[in-house]
Amino acid sequence: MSRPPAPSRLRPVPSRLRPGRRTSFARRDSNLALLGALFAGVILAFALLLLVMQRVNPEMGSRMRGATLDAISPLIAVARVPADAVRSIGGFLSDHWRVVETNRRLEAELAAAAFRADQADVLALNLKHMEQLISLRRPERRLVASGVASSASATAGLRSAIISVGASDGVRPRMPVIAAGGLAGRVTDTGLGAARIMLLTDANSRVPVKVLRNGWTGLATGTGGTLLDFVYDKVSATDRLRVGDRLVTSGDGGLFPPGIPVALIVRVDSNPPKARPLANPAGLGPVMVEAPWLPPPEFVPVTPAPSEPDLAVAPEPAAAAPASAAPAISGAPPASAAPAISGAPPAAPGQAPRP
Amino acid sequence: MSLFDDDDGIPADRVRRAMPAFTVLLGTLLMALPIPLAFGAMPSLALLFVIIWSSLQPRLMPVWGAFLLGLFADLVSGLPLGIWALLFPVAAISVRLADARAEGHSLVIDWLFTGLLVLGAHVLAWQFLGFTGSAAPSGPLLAQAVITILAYPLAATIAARVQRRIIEPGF
Repeated sequence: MSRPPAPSRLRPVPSRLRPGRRTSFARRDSNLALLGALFAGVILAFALLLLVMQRVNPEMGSRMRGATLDAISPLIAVARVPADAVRSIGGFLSDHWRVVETNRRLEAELAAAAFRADQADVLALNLKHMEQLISLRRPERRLVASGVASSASATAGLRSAIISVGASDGVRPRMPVIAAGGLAGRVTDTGLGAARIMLLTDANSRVPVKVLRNGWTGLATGTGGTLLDFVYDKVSATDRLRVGDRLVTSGDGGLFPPGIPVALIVRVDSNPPKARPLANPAGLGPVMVEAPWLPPPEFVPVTPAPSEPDLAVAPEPAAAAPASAAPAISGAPPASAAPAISGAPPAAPGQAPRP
Repeated sequence: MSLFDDDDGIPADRVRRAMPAFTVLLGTLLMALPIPLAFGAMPSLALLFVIIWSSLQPRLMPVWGAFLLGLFADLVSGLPLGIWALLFPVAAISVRLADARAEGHSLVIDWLFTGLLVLGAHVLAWQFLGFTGSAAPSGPLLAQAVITILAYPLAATIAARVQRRIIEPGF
């Protein structure tokens, strides 16, 4: 507050020779203003540069984002408490308004569901048996970490939530996140102890799904609002999408494991139809982070398979031998198999040694 | 005590100077915290405070300060770096230019000018989001702009109170 007064100087006497000459104070002010404008310009240019670099390399700044997440995650944990309390009180009240009616409906549904569950058990057993017969190999789902999610942040243009597990728990960007109600989204940024996930409702979110009832496949795309668009190819003229159809992940793309509930069709008169996410973005609660279901393969050099002779034409066990055995066989009977096998090495050039 | 108050009850100089930045930080955090609204309907208080402080206390909201605050807003909300880091200083400069030309303030004029700035900033933010490859729908952003404009009197009241109580308590 108490600054030393500016050193007073004598004002220069206006001269007849140079009437327009400005005082040194005015000159200093204008110089300062000029410098300030220059400085502001430099800052704007730097910000613009940041934006352009972000376009060139979207990964830029992900470490800083992760560190910021770590810094604010305790705040979020504190802020969750009142928000969760309000939500649970609301749920409590609305539950009590309709408890009798809901109870009757649920009992009827339970009876029907128990019957169908028995059927499903039989089918599942059958399926397991069949899969063993054809030795089908299914990728297994792997839980990486589980934590709690804050509800969606209120930033327009981006639908995201923050979860309480991060890189130190093994969470990596791109991993699918599953809440109690269904699929929640995927990890985009990771800090050490917190991570940000992109919710299904984000405009950049695309989830390969199928309709549980009839197996139609499509994409559940976010719109930035509360509902999802279900984009699909119409495959049947007689069947149509109904309100209440359930969408589950199809496993296409290899990121999300198949069969996880995603959304419920709520409007079919619009184009594309609208679906409501089963995991409410405003109250995700506890979530699981899983490894990508079918990660992209790491390719290793392996010799290509030789073209095999048709088993129906040459049923002898020798005919199914690998190509490295081909030169030994080619000279010997049975004659019907020999031409087919000796023709094999050209199909796999450079792999099978020729005599 | 010694951090916040001097012996004579006037807030310490450091606190006074940091107050505008502090309100902007608080506004940013408020938007990132979990608030049970499905439609992201929070006013962009940080942007409002940048605009208001650029007019009330230009020396306490320098252009580089607006840039740093914008960078923080980008980091906290997970947006591509550079969106608010560019728009906050642009807003600060626009307010300075407008204040240099217009003398005196009335609430309506200020509100109108702020509304234009906020709307422009959100349209630009929408464009920048598309530019950096995370295209967003325009609906929620425009909704946020409208809510932000409606929240202007609230933010102005808060800023005026901070100004009276902490920054210039003697006046």
